[in-house]
Amino acid sequence: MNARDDMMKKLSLGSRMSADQRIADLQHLHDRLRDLSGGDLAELIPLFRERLLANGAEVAECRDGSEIAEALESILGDDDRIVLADDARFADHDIARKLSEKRETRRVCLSDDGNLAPENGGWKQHYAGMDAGITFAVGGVAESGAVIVHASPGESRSMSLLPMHHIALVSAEHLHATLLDAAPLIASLSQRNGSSAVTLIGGPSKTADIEKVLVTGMHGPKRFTVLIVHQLPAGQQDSSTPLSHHTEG
Amino acid sequence: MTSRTPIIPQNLKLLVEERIHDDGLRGNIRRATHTSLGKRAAVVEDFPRWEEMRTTAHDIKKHVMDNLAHYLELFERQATEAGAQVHFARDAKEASSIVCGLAREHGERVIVKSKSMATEEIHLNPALQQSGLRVLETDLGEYIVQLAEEPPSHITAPALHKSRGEIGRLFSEQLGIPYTDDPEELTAIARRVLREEFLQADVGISGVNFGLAESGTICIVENEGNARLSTTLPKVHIAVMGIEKLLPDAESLGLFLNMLGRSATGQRITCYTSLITGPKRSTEPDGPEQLHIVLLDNGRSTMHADPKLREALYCIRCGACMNICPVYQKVGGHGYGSVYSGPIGSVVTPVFMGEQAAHDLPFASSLCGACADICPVRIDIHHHLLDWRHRMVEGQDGPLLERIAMRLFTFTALSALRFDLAGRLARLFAPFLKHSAGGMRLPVWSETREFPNLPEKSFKQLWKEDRERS
Ligand code: SF4
Repeated sequence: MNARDDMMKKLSLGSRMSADQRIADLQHLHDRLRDLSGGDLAELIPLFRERLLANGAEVAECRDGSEIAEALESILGDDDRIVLADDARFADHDIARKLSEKRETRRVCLSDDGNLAPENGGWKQHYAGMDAGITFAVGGVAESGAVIVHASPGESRSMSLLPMHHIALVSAEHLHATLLDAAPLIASLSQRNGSSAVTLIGGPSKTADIEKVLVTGMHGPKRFTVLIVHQLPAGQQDSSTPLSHHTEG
Repeated sequence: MTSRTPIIPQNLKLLVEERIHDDGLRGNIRRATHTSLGKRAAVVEDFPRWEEMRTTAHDIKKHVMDNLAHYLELFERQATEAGAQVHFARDAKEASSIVCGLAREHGERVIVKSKSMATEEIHLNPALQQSGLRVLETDLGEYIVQLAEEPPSHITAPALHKSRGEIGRLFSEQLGIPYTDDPEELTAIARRVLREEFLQADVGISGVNFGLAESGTICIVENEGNARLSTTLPKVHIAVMGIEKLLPDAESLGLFLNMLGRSATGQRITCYTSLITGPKRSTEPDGPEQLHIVLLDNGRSTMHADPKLREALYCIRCGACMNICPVYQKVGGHGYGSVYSGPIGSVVTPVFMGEQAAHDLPFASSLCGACADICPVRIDIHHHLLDWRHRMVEGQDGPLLERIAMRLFTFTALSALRFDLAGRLARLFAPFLKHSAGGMRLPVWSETREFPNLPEKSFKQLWKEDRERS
């Protein structure tokens, strides 16, 4: 017998529930989870901010699209070379152009067909020496102090990972109270026709492996900044993403 | 890098002996475990209903284990449809030969690995090196112990037993750099060295913290970003996942993520939680072209078939039971001589390594129960240890003296009269014995302790007097 069938056979001997029982049991567990989820945290933004700061992130806020460029200017500081997500919202209010006046700006994609040249890891070089990557998060989790980003045609995995500074823009409307409230969003993004990589980011890369001394920037960004935009227009990504839960709480 | 020989728990006494007299080591372990425990206590308070969360987490794991065949099949189907290639491995050898085969096929230059207990369990690194491949641990703690050619000593903090000075000397010797013991500088050096390797690597190997059956997603939790790099930069990603890691769906995951970070390191959430479903989509800019998931049994189906031991499969490897364990705090992870150390390690190791090799492990515990009290999935750890003790001594006789003593005790204790008399005699003679040349001694025990004074009156006497007074 091959390994798969062998293992399955052994395990099925100890798996006793009928399909109906299993569904009912899971339903019951979901009820208990929902009861525990505590989505009544009224003031999400202050909690989100407090928890992000506690996790070692930096936080900034602005009102709407017209203030993004200015907010990013002050967040970026000395970062001279930046990678921007391919997102139409950076064209609004001239954000991309304004940012590129003072610094070298790259887009995620190199070629017209929307793909980076994959051979010889050409795309890896694309990020070499970049100081900051700027992405749009699809949601935030207030209780945990984390944002949700995902790989998509306009956003690579690397841009939030290889540069020393990662900046995530998140709409205040997309805040969830707890991880349990964010679960439907995470589930819908992780479907097979969804994204290959959904990542919750809760702070800068860090380690405490040497005598428990906290050091940031171990492998990923040393700085992680979340820019909360109170009124952010929806992106192309957002329309395909059911966000039925995002107003909860 | 040479391969390190796996240590075995057979000579437990020797291992413990060496470590218990190492004051530096004990200090390091004490500092580390207490830091984690302190932070944990603070963030657990976020949830007034933590105890209910533990019960729910326990019940979700129970649900998965009671339907494991179903969820494993569902996971396999969903992951495959998302484009992943799923492999099954009955034991450590099968698993490591699958990974080595894949690695040989794709890995000409270097293989980068992020921390994973499952790959330690299957002794993957020595196998890869025997296949002529260069494999690099990229978690800072793992990198340090790999440079030092030692095994990791704690699930979440593998180099917990090393001081900054030791690490500084190690880096300076192995990497040919000037000595520094500044953690900030040492970390920056490791980042530089390892980033170069990441950019060259063709294969990345990771473990898995949770598998979501609903979508065939694997979830990896970390702080450093090396798991993200290992699963993003190389063109092939191989994930080794124990079959007990399954959860039904993202909703259950929410609960477990809330508990894992808090229990492990006292974090509300770890820096990075990666949810990976299949390889890179054709429209996505980057990510691996192939994703292989190796589903590992290696004794788990045996535990699954055992109604009692099955509960050990609920473990989410948070390490809290180690941090709180008075024995672990004294001897550290290496003191156990097994891949999985601490209280839960002593429960599962007899299955992984055989009862013979792990014979002493269930006895390396005071059975105080602190582990079961802290466990986020409510595993009754110390009762499992007790259970193993029963199984292991069943049909075995103790030493002759012990047997005679127990017989005598039984004889005495079975009659109130005899018990009373024995107590009187003991109280009468104990003071003389204690001050005589040899004194009252028990072997080993008395080396570090004074024999306690017997009380002047027995409990029975005190009770009687008390009744008479009132
Ligand atoms: S047994 Fe419980 S406390 Fe110990 S590592 Fe596993 S989940 Fe954590």
